Amino acid sequence: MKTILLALVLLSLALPALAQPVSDDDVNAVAARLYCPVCENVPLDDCETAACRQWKSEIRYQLDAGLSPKTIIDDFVARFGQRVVGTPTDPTLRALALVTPWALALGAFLSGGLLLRRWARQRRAASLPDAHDPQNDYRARVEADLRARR
Amino acid sequence: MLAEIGLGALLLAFVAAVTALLAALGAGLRKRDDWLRSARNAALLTFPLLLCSISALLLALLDGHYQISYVWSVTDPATPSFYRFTALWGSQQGSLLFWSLLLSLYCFGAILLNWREHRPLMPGVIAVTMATLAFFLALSLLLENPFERFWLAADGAVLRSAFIPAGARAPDIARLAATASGLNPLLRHFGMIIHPPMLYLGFTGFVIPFAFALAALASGDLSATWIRATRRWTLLAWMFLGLGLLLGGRWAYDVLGWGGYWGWDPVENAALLPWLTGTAFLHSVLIQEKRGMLRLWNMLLVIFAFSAVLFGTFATRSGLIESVHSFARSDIGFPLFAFWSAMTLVALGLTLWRQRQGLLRDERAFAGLSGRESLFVLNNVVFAALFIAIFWGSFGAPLISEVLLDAPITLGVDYFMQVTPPLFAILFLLMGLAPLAAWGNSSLRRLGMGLRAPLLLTLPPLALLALAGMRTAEALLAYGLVTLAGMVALIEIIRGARARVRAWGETWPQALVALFNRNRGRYGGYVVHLGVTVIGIGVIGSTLFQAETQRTLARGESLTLQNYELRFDDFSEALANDGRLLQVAAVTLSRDGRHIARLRPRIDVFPQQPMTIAGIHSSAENDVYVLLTGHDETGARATFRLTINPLINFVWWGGLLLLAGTLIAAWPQQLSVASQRQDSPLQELQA
Repeated sequence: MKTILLALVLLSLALPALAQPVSDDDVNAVAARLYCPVCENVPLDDCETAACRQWKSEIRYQLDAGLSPKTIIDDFVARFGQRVVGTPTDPTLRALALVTPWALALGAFLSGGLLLRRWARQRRAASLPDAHDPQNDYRARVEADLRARR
Repeated sequence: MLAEIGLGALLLAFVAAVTALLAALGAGLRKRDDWLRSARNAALLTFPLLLCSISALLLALLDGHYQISYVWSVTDPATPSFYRFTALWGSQQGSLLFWSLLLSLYCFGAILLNWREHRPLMPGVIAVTMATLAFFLALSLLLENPFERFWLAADGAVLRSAFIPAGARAPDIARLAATASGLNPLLRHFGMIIHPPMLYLGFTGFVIPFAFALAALASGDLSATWIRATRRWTLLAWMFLGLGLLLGGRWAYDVLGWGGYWGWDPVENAALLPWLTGTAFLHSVLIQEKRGMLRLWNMLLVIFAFSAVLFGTFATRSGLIESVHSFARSDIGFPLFAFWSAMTLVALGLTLWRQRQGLLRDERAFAGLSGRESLFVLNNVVFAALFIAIFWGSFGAPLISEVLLDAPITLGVDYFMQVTPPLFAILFLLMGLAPLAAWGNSSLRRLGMGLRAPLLLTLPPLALLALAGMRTAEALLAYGLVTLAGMVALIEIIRGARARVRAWGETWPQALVALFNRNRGRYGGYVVHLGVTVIGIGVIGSTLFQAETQRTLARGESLTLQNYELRFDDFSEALANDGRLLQVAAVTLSRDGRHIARLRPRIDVFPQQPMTIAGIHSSAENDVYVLLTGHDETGARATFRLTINPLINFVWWGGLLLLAGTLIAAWPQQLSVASQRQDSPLQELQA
């Protein structure tokens, strides 16, 4: 039992050393989800300014310390605001950002649908015989006469 | 002297534009033909005057007249002649003057070509185009004057003024040359000689359909006349804007160093919005031409297309949005905003007025839900939804969130990749269905019958892709829709040619030429559809299957990605003639162990900023894109980013097809005797 415990302790001590080093790809995967806090509209992984290199180094340290990508992104948002993410993490802003265009697009589709429906109704109205058309009365009488002769 | 000539011509052009505007308004109100001729002559004069003005600025740039502050700010003695030429639109003042020149060129062409045929609309057309031109010339004269010069006041202060201030003298030219700024490094690229002119030709071109639309609204002649007069101009503007967008994508791919061509940057999106509106108009205008329907909608589309141009110009130049294009910012934001609002409100007001009078009512009733009209309406709805989604992501949400909620946000690629792909998928589906539906009452059965052949031809490539390992549903669906749209266009062209071969015994090349000659609009449109299909293939491949890795290598070390291997061989530094420091890495690219290319990715270090220039190995299958992103002091270790962009070249090739198709569609129709021969089956096929 003691041997097993000793082995577990040694293994836990050795784990950090055995862990894979953080690669550039790991850093870029997180940085790609962030925007440069200084140069607007430039993704952090593509930004090569001195400040952005420093932030990417920071992401490397954080990953190395075992922080998850979500925790790192939340940390950046807490420090620099919602502007550093491609879609806001704040639920209200996220809803505003993502739901509005779909609602507006739905409005556009509904308008298109209503237009087509109105056209279809106009077409039906145009093809239906008019109840007060004297021609219809005349036609009805002719057909009644024909039926009577048969 | 060049500054005086340029400024004088600019001032005269402004006077001519205002004269033309007033004379055209008078001619319209008083029905005076002599005033209209005066308006025409004054309007025509603006183009040669602006050509003279811009030539003076160009000569000043080429000859290094550094006393002109614009020349000082965009060139320096080390700037090569080639970039001195592109410096003409390298900053706000020059690009505004260039904008005005292109606008006057369109006015010149539209007035000359439409003078006889559309004389009743001319007062309105001249008034609207000249009002727009006069506004932009006023901006150039009062706020962004490209002919301002440096002066030394008596107390030694440096002044900037178009005219010599009292007691001031010209500064020492050698000293000015020594301190000149030079061109923004991002603009030192071959593509910059053609990308901005194409984009501006696209932007300014939309003024002509807008002017005709307003002239029709003002005159009350809302028959199909204004539509006939403007369709070709819209097509031309649409083509230039599309080319400008594609060339901008190529510039971003080569210069910005991130491995892509479209970043959903607000400035890119500002140029995409009028293009989307123009595309919707080019489709819906067919319904008005063929069926006399959607008259109000077409009017609104033309207004929104030009309104989007003015908004894009305002957003780009005012600092409303910050991006890589922000070099063009200045303090002209408010006048641009006021002009955009005024033009849009006046146009919408006139439309509402005429709508209430019943002048924009449809001439014909709807014939059936599966007819081509319905599919075109759906197509327009999707374009409208795309416009809304892109406008919202680029401007609406960030502005509302910042102004109302005090929480600045960025809607980036994440947002656009969630919202736009479903809409593009519907567009490709409609692109496949609409050509198969007939005008009027078309049955679903007929639509289904027409779909059989394209569907059968779409399945084998999809099966091949699945066998090659592509198993993701989204990729197969995307490729399925894009291929279907392309197959429909291809089959429609082949069907038309085959009918001629059978009916007239023509050879296939003869039949194809005659077919395109006979109905350039329709078959040019199919070539455009093929171009969009090819672009779609490239976009899907390079978006869904892009692979990327980054590593720091010592000399002799390699990194691998898929079946490619990149070996770092050497690193060197050199000083270029224009003063930039070149840091060049030599790398060897191998595929499956076989050497395929030696590339030289580099970093250009300018005093203002560094630029990463990729080394690219290009093939039909993909681009292998290598960036040198950093290195240590000795160059013994360097960091490389290796990106594989599958099928990316299809984007550029599709652009060429799009250009060819638009030129075919826009070319004036001249029916040859052979192509005029018609019989009933051909008429049925080609109607």
